[in-house]
Amino acid sequence: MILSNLELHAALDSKRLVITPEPTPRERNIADPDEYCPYDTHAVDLTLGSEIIVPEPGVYAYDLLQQTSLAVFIEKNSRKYRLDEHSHFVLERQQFILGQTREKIWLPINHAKNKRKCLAARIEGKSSRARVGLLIHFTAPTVHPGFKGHLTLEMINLGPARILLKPGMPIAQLLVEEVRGIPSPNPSQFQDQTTPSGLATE
Amino acid sequence: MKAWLRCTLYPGQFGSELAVVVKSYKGQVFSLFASKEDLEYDEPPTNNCPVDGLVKVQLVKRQGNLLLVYLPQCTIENGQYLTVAENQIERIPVATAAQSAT
Repeated sequence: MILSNLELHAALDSKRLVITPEPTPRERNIADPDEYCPYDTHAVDLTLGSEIIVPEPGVYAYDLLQQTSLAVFIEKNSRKYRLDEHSHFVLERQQFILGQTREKIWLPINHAKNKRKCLAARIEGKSSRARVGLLIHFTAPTVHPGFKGHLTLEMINLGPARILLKPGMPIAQLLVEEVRGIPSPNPSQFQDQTTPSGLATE
Repeated sequence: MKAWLRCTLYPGQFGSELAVVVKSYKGQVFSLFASKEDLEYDEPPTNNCPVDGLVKVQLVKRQGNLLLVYLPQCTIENGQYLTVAENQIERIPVATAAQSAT
């Protein structure tokens, strides 16, 4: 069940959902109809953070199954850009980069109001951005119960022209949904496995 | 139950994270990017100088001196669970340390 805007407000008030900084205003100002409101009927907009990571092209290949410290390799082969509020990043056609939401998300599992249910979320693009060919995620939209942190955006420009990315611009929308039951790590699924990701049996 | 797993830390991609290298009880190496809030270290790592540190994990199950732990993020090479030896864990909560093998 996806939370409506009113349910989103209630979840924020009770801290079942924590977004820092919290998107405002919650409602449109009738006296100022041009004022931007980040809440839609059942989603809330998130904005682009100030860091952009550009993977360096190279002759290397990622072996995603190799058991080495791939995270270190990825970091060493990427270039970092920090944008201030007056600068922008030019996303070239076909270019792939990583960004982050400015907002930090927290979906606490052990919340007093989480009785036989808790919250999860999905990050989705915005149609206005999609129309110029901007993908803000293409494979990993899920925000698991218990998650705490900034959301990483896997961004690519599939459009015909360059796109200017500015920190603070609405870049994505967050849909929050209720999970039936309280998830917990289930060690039974690792019984009899001998891989390092499962509990080895001796 | 929370505990801290020994790890090696490298600079992360984003400023809010670090690259974390952990080892299974067999010595196999896995890596992930984790929020600095889930890490403990004395000095921040640099490109030329990784540092030893601790990563916050959840203890899931114990079997002898092996512990199944849940990492704060998925490893790039494998899943989010890792089997480690008890001596790789720092500050095991008393209740868990006292548990009998299951």
